[in-house]
Amino acid sequence: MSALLQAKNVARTYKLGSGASLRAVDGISLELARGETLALVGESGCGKSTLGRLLMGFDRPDTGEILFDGQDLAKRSSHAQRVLRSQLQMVFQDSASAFNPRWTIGSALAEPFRIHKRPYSRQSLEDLLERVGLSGAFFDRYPGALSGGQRQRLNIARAIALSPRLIVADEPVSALDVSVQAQIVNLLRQLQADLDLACLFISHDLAVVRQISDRIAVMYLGAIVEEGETLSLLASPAHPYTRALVDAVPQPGKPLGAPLQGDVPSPLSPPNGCRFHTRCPVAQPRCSTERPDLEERQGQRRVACHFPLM
Amino acid sequence: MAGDALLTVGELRLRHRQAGVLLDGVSLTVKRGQILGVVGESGSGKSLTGLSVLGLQPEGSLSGTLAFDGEDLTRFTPRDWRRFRGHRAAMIFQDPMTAFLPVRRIGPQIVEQIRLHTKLSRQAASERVVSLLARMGVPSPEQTAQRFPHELSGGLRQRAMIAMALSCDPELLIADEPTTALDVTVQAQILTLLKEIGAREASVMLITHDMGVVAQSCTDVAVLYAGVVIETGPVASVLQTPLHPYTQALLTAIPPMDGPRPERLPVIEGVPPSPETRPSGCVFAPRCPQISPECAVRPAMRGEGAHRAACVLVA
Repeated sequence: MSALLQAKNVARTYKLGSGASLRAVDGISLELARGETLALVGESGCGKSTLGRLLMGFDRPDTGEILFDGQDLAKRSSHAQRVLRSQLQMVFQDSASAFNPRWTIGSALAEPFRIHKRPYSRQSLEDLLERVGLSGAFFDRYPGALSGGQRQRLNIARAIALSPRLIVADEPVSALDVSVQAQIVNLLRQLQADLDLACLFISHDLAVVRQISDRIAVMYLGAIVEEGETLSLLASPAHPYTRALVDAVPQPGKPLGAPLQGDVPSPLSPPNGCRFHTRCPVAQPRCSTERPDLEERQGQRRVACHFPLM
Repeated sequence: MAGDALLTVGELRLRHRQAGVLLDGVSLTVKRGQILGVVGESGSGKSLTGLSVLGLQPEGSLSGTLAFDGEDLTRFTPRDWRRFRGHRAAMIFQDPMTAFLPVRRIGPQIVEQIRLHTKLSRQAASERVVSLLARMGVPSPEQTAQRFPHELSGGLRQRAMIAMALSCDPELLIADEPTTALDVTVQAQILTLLKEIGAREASVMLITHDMGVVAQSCTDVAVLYAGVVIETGPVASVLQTPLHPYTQALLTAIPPMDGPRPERLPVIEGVPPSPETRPSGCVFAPRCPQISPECAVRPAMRGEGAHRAACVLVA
């Protein structure tokens, strides 16, 4: 497999005012192939957004390296970085704050072309609007005239403007109503197929993730606890945390299981041993002292658990 | 008595001077011992319905009936409302951070509410707060009562808010998106708690956009679209055999958690009506795949038994 994006043992610690430090990403390795969609899932504070920002190059890891197309972004000249950057784009959850309200939709779409000194025309930008299901007539209007779903389409249009090879989408449908969410999920899948786009899809919603991703990496307190092919991982989770996440998704026709007890521990003082042992229903004494490594199991599954469920 | 109607909302209409028609015929009933899910998308009027029950709706012309345990809420004076709110019916919101004053400890804030509505002494009220927090599953309730809202996690804050809402033994708890801001494992904890409350302490009106939440915690459901209740009935019946095309479309738009993965998710074309384009007939007609000439007249609720829908397709 030729990896488009590779993270090797990436870690990032933030120093906080009181001398405390927050290890937001704690030694993560992952790979993303061309055209593939990898979903990062986990609860608030697990480090999934920080990891997304590191992979985008918005922030540098303390240790480890991130290779895009085999090249380490951090080690390139600023010119080479800029060229590579055009191939990496990001879509955020809040499309309302992603646009300058005083710029027309046309000028917002033209901006990436201006920054990267690429040619564009009004016609090409209107085509771009239509590609994401918006009318070209929006060209001279302002973002305020769009509904939430339309604005997220515009957000996606701008992200694909320079024909990137990778999109990092951080909770892109979480703020949308379910009927609009379905439209955006369909659009993303369609665009990925048409443009051979790889996507890192950051989300807490397992149903959406199941629909859109090829593989899933589950994060808990800064580390990946399980990774594998989407349908097999959701159908038979090997890590007790993944099991709990899947069971907690409210679904019609399925009674709610016994919920996981307690809250996620503070990332400022993560538990010793396995990070999940304080909430784990099957924890053993060994789990509180010895941290499990992420190990390959059958069927290209990677699991960090001493007592996996498969 | 379980099964008796506690709250009856009939043909509730609310027109706002600027925003236009906000509620356009909301009819629903909450029976004692019931957990009624009020479900709809943004702007459907689900939160406004909840607020209207407490007389907290925005300024505008309100018509229709609101009856609570035989009392006519539309005739309430401000004094009546003060006695009613928090005492006989209480509400919790999505964001517990804004429900508590940030500069006061949790316990005294709940004590204040208890002493406003009852004659309990400060000491007795404090004891009641601790037992309430314990009943809501808050660990070490004595200590938690002495903490500030920001010192609690999101899930604990939500439990504290539910404790505050239940502090005067209301007969109705209105919960407006109580789990939307929570992580899924914590959401499961709060839904379990709400189910226990519904079974033992108070009737619950659970306002949500999430059909999954309705499926797992409610006994009955009312589906809202554009300010109109378009379908209502027992949860199992509505989710398994939805009668209204909107409910059907809403359910199929949710990505499935098992079975084959669809190539494309079915979507509902178009957008909900704006005040200018509001149809006089069925409000869903402009987006409905099964429209017929009869839809030009607003359909009444029809159907057999408890499961009813406002659609001409229903026999």
